[in-house]
Amino acid sequence: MSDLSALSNDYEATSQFAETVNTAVLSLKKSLRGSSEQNQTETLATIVAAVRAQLTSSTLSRAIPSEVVERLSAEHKSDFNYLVEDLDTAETALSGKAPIDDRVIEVLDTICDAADASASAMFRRLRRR
Amino acid sequence: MTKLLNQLFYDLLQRFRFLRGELAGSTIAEPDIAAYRDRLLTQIERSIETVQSLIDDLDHMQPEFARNMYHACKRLTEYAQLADEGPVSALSRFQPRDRFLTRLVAAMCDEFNFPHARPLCSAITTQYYCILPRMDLILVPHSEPDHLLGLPDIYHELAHLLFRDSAVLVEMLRACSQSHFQNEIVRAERESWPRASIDALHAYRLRWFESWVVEFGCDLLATYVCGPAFGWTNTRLCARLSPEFFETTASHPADAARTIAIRLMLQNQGYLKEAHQIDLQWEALQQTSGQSEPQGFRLAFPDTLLGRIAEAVGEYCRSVGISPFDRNTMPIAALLNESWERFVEDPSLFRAWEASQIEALRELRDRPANDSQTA
Repeated sequence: MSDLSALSNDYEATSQFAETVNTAVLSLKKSLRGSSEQNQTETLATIVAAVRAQLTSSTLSRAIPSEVVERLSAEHKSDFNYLVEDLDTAETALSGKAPIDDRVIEVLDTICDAADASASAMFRRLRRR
Repeated sequence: MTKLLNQLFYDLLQRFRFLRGELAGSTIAEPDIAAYRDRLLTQIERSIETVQSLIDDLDHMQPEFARNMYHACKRLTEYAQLADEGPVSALSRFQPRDRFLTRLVAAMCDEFNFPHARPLCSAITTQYYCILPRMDLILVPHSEPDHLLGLPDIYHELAHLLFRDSAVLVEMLRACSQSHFQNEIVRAERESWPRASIDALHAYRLRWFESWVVEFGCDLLATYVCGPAFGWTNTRLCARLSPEFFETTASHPADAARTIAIRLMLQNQGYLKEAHQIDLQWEALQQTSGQSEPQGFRLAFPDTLLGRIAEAVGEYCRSVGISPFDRNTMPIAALLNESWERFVEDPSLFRAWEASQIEALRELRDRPANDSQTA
């Protein structure tokens, strides 16, 4: 019945997403530097596609925590179309159809930042309600 | 950059080591509680290994890794704080009343075949009943282990664990609500409803999808396994804590709508007389508080949709073997129902009876739950 239970559930989902995407992006960056990190480009391609779908479609989904999508949307109000375009490019590259360049890493960092900020904000709400 | 991260990671490492020390040094010997502690200890050990490997990584760190390392540090720091404030704090102050509550909840879980590890429970919160799902920890106010009327709310908190585990159940309920609102939006547009009403439908559709299905689902599951007692407890909770019965928030649907859903579940289960009695109590509460149903309330919470999700929760429970309330086979749920029957009949005589029942229940303190099922 308590708000704390609902908020704890939402925090858990957002925190797990933030951790998953951050770990995968760090692995990718390390592998691009020649380390033998486990390749997680497939995971990242799926995440990028889901972010794009949730940003642009009216169909509701919880594949990506809504707080993350809302944050991306709010922070990219002025360059929303560019963000969508970058997500397209990143998905193509992460699917192995194009090289992974700095622009791809930049869009992945954007998702990581939004996920981190969302998880941090929810964690803070858990104790400062 | 590396220096900052190095400091943050060592600070975190020391915090995790302290938590490990607290847990390892605890004198809890009961197998069911110790099993929970050991599982937490394993998670803390893993976190220590992760932090250590992140510290080792700093030797080869490239500038572009820094922010990801920082984000990793933040998630681990949050976990350390959650463990510290939740289970470590609960275990380091574990009292006989906490043990009683933990075993009572384990016995409740056994009664209805709860398909999840039994959580730890502690009576240390300043909030109302709540759950920290990641920690498998239920918290209740200090006085609750000595009273019976509020305990049905534990079933609602248990249901949150189930919703976390079962995407099937969440998706079933989401599908019900989305189908309803999609059809309503199409109808509203065809019939040229005012724009504000159509916008309201869109907003309700989103709220149902995001969070309301879970709260409704937890109430319905609690009613399914606990029976009328959960309906009475819900009315009591609304009377004591609800600021406005028809008000909604992003995380919670209106209390009035939840009360209707609970009534529908009780009716589905054949508790017609009890559902009617609870309804009369609810009406009396509305009249006493001077609150009445606002226009548009049924737009957000139509009976047809509430009925559909009540049926869906029942179907789901049957499909996974969760048992409905049965007075003959569920002694704890039966006791909670009898408590409400006695209390409603004569509140002045209730406390003496309640105290004697609590005393009898306390025998559970010496009966450990099945180790393999304890979280």
